[in-house]
Amino acid sequence: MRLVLTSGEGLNAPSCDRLLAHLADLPARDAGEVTVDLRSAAFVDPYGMAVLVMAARQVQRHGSRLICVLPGNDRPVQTMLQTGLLDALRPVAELRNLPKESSHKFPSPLPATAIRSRSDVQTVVGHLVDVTRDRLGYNMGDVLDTAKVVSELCNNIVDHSGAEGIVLAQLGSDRHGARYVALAAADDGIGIRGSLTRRYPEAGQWQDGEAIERALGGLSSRETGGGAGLRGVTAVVRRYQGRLTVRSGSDRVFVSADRTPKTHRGALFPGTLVGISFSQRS
Amino acid sequence: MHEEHVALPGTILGGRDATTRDELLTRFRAMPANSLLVLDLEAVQFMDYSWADEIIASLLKASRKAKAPRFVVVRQPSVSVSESIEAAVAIHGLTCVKVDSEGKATVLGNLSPSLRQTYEMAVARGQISAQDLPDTLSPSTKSNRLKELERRGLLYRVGEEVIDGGGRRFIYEPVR
Repeated sequence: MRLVLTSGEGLNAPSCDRLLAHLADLPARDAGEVTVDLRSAAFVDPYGMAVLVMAARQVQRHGSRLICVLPGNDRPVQTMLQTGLLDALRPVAELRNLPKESSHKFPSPLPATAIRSRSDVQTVVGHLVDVTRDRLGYNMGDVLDTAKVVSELCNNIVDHSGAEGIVLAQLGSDRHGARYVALAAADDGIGIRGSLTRRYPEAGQWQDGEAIERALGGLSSRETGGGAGLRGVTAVVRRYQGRLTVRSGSDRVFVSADRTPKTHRGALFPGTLVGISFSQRS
Repeated sequence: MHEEHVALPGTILGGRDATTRDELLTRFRAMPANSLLVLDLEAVQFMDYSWADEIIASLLKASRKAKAPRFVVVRQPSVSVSESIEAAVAIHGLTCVKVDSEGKATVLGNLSPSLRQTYEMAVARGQISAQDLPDTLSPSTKSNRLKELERRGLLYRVGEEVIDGGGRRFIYEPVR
């Protein structure tokens, strides 16, 4: 199987749909070679990078290995280096078209980090706060709101997925000069519907999109607590006029400040993936 | 009022920390009647919604269910920490007293303007009874307001006075 990004295309939600659709058809064993050719990729975003890592793990479980041909364009390669993506991919994928080692020096506010335990989350949050506040000069309110989002998403992986996950973020400036944060957290666990079914057996009959929307509204799979996590994340994203995408199972729910959540059917994602982007307020 | 101060485990508080929740609930339930559990948050840099939901909302629920009066107050939370607590307690319809660095008490969570105003009056006066509420309100409205604030863990009863012509009136102090 070979997925090639065409010129001008990015590794983002639409191209990831194609990758996931291919993966859904893989045989259970001896999947053969799976190649993702990013040589013509114009950009990569955290959502796409998180999918790539999860896809590589999925291919590995199928008894094969994902081959990732890295972009020829300097900009997406820099993003991949800055976010620590290549380090996250190395154990699970074969990388080709590698950049020279000398270009590996970039500050990373939140390098791609495996999330397995609460101490991983504490480390990630502490690092994010230190780098964005002290080294990048973000104002404290924005730093803490970003940290809350990261903390909630990572703790959800620990508390609900039953699997290991990954988080990574990219900081940059938009064309108006406003600083933005784009981040993604993903796991290949039981998914949101699976998690809710533990407490609400009827959730097994829901569509994935319905389960995602209910979780965003505050429905929790835990007896204690009231689902403040994803609800709080949604509130932060709306407050910053940002965008939130939650993908779990066969559905993807998109939330923005001025729209009601919208569900899109897509290829199966075994687990949960949350992608967020928002700009700094001041 | 008996007071116990709690130092929290670290400056970054995130996730559903069941260990801390269970320790604090056990301690809270073991406190004598008319006790105040003070969560000192001055050193806390960061608290996410889930931590506030799991720990602070659980303590406030335990306070409401307690047969003996026991209360919870958060002291000196930052703006960001206050926002997490506010969001978490509001989901459950709870309220929580916050005391700032100057000792000023306010309420986090959803509270109607009339109840908020009554609590603020109690804070300003130090004590409050139905007699202190505006005469435009009926006696039952005055009484219900104070009882509701008591039910929400924002006022506690310190005594009662006999009313001319019979009956009695409860005197309350604000939890803070």
